[in-house]
Amino acid sequence: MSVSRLAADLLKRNTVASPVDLGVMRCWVFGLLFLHYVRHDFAAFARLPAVLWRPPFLLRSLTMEFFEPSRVHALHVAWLVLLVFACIGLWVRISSFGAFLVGAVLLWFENTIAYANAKDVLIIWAMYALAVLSTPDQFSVDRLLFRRRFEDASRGATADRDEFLAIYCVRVMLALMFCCAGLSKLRTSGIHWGTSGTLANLLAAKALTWDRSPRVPGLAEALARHPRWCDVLARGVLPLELSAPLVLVSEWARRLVAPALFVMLASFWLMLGISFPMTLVCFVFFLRFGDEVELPASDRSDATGPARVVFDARSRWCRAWVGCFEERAASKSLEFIPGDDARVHALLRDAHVSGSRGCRWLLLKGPTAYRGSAAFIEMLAIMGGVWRLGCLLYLIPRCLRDPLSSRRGA
Amino acid sequence: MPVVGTTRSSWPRAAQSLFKMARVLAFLVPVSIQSTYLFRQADGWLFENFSLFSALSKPTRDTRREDGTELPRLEESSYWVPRVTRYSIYGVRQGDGTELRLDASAYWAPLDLNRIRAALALVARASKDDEARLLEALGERYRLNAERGRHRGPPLESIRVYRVTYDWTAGVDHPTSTRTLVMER
Repeated sequence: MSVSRLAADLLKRNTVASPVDLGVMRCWVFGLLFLHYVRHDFAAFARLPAVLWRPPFLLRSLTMEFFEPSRVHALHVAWLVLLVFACIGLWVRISSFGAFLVGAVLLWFENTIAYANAKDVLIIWAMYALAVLSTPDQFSVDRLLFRRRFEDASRGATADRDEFLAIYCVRVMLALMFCCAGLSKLRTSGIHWGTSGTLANLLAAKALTWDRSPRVPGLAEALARHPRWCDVLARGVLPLELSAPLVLVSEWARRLVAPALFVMLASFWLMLGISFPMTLVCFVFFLRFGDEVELPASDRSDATGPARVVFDARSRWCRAWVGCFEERAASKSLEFIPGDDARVHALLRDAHVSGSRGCRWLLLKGPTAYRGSAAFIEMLAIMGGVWRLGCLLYLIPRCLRDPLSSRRGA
Repeated sequence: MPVVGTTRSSWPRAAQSLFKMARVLAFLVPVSIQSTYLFRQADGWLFENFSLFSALSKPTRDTRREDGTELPRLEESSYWVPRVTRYSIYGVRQGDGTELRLDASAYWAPLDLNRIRAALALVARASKDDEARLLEALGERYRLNAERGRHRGPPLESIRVYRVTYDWTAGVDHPTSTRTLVMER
């Protein structure tokens, strides 16, 4: 087996995602970037003395005068507009690429003044992945405005595996970031970083010098009084950071290590006031939003035939929803089938659906089966009108949406 | 509405495979560059070691007792580097001339304290003019942020920058500090 085939296999097995996922990730990343930077005054950096300008070697010819405040302000406004467009998916390819370019220039400019901050690095790679590696047009306004173009394009198309390169890229950069940080600690201080009270000292210094504004005041001092516990924490941080690359190859690591890294970064903010908000946003690339599976040829419905909805007939909520939609179902080319119907056993098996997973809905549309809450959302989309807004439920990660929906039956 | 499937253009096959290869390269190049930092220590931005807090805090005090025996590793007093020196910004209130410590990000946003301290270190090595320009810019930020409701600090007569040495040899609960005025505007 060639190296490229091995790599492709690794990518395929470890980046299982629905096409909807990347579209929702695009919404979250660009939307949260907009919210974070909407009040940020980039022009303030342009008003600082030129002596603070520290461009990298290759860009020494560029002077700080080029970034005059009015120009920086104009760039900022343009970036915010592009971020909104990229978030909602309007002219999504152009707006995503524009948002990446302008954002990279602005963030680079900010980090060339006096001090380079590592907290913005990963979000630049997230924008890069969404703009350059794959521009997800799912979950976008473009899909509503230029419906015909997408219908033509998606006819006969299957999920494009290359799309998942974007997800994998961000995960790799995130894993490398943590692994580099862990190795850096070992290289600089050795194993003593976790045994000589460094973390306790750091907490004491931050707390006593009022360095920043911790979200939980007093927590840093309280921990600093117990250096033994701080060392235990520090000894946990080292292996955690070094094990970050496991998230690329193991499903279990993604379930354990990725949340632990998220909690570690969040606790820096709570205890020390050192925040990495945009790095935390990048953990969205570990979440799943859609839930669909390709059906075997025998189970596929006719492309022109009605979409079929299998529901849990024992659930009161399911029956209520079906009752609500049944009248309109015929006109919307939708057929409801109770889950205890003999016709659907094979379908449920092929779509890997079981009642024990709390899956109360299954929607079959052409070659695709949508499961659980994703099926419910797709059903709302088929209903049209105001119900179509139900698609916004895709913004809730599946790990939160599915338990809720199985409890409610929706 | 989300729809399964992706846009496929009707490009010739050669152009498509070229595009695909460019995409794979666009993935591999940054990943490869960042991977090299696993094996080397270097500062930078965008590609770097993320070496925040990686330096070891070594005890500056003698870790031996008077009788020559080593302090136990886990004894609390042997842990602390009980001193740290930082630039600290104070404002002088208009009217009564009393000082107010201004080490909170809300006063200077979007400039963070790390950046301000790095900037103070740079201008301290540069000219008095640069020093004055930086303090003027800081004063302007303070005023603008007050106008925008980001903080409720009083109007300032001047800004003072001190080098403050914090000492907590007596313990976390009994810190002391000494300071030297280095800039004023």
